[in-house]
Amino acid sequence: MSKYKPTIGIEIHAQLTTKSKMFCGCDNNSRKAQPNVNICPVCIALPGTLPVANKGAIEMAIKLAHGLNAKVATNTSFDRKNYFYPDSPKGYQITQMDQPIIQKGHVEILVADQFISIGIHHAHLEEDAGKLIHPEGTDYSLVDFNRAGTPLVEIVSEPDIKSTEQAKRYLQEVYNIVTSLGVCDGDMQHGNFKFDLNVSVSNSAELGTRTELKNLNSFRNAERALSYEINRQIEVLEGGGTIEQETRGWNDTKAVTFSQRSKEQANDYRYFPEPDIPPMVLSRELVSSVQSEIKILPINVRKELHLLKLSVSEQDILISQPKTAEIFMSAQARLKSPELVKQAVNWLVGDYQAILVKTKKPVLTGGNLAELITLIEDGTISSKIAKDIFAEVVAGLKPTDIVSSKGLKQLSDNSELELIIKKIILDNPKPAEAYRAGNERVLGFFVGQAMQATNGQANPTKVSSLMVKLLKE
Amino acid sequence: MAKLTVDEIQAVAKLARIQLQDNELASVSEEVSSILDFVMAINEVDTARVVPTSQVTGITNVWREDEVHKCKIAPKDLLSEAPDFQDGCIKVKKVL
Repeated sequence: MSKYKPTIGIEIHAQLTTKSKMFCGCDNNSRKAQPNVNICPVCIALPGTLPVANKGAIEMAIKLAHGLNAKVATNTSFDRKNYFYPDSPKGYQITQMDQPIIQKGHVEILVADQFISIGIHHAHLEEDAGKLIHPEGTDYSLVDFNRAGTPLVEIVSEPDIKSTEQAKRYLQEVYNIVTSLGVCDGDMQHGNFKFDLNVSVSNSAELGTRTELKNLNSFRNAERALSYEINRQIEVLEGGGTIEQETRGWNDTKAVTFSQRSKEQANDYRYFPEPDIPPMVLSRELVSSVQSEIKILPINVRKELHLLKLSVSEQDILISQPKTAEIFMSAQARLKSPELVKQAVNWLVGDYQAILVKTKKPVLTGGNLAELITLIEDGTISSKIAKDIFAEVVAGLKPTDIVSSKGLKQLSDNSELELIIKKIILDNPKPAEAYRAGNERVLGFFVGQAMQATNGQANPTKVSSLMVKLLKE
Repeated sequence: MAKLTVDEIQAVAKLARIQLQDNELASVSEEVSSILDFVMAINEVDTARVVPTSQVTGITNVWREDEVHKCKIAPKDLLSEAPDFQDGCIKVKKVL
């Protein structure tokens, strides 16, 4: 083991799912649009235009604050960050520096079966830049301003992250938070959720010099880039060298990080308060009314699932589907034992997933799922019947209604079952003989016959024990 | 007396995307330094007890509902000042 320990801080940029842009009414969804169609005088910065903040984006930031266990700033305002680049029509970005909307918070992550807390330094609102395309082998670049002005939140962690594994879990957990709150689509291939990683290594109590890995957009690459960079820094230090504070990129094909910009070349952004947008005062009433819309947070689901001793990857299936997670939370509140709650998980990660693929509008409720599980538990229906009617339960019907209207109540009445079983034994003398001669495998055949004869309504355990008893007579 | 070095002038010129000729550097640094001197007169005011002010209207919470309003001006008119186009994009000198 290396004596060097890494320290990692992460900045995440998440695009918000507002209908319109951050400071103008242009369509915020340009996924299928031609270049430069969702633009207006404000977002391409024609002289004399006035940006007006999107209330929807502010409300999303207020929601996110709850997900990050952070306070919403009562007083919040925008600042200008000045730089010249062709993707920035104004020559500055409207962002927040002095009074970010989201204050200190924390995110809990589960690593090696332990929940640990990663501090959030703050998170703020800002606007995205336009898109630059660099056609290969040419001496020009192309600019598309459709994305210019898209609302972003930047989530800045404390340098609390101590390993590549923790970094990956942190990224995934923040991803779960923004997607489950519905504030970000999380389409990582299209750059909805990107991050910069600050990393340093040190073999003493003092922090080492950090480098910044810019613009990663996959969890896997974050992991690979971090491992590479940590090893690179350790090698430089072991070889007697020093780490330069610089910005580095990640080359996916070569699987290496490379120097992009040194500290000397770093921009002086000349921040100052945005004069065109008056400051905001966010009342308690606004904050609590927006946050009261939040139903569940991923961490609550994870903690429930962790209690059931489900693995992190099993937990992730439910957590990655906010609606399914909601059904789970509502079902588990109604179920009496951990065993039954585990069955709810099995339904949701099993049969329900298969139906989801085919159904456009599933209306499974936690209440109906809990009811179905209880009907199996108390012996009213067999698990086979439950499977048969599950599609109808997902379509919104109440399990007890389906059972009573179709007469699916399980046959547990011994005398009725005995009659059926006796007849099956009489009809199949040869297998019965074989069983008595010691071939116990034919029992399966008999149970199958009985289930068929009762349209699956018999209790299989009961059938099996009665069958054994009657075959031996 | 403010005295900006030639290096500082070059750094500022770079950030502002202003190209200065070598023979201009000395005179520009003189001029900018004297302008700075003039503005620095404001430093004589005692602001120890003054709250920093960036807005004077007292207006707060100017925001709009999240609704899409398509711009009535056609994109090609909006971008008519751009020097060159290709594939619907604005064409610029290669960056990166």
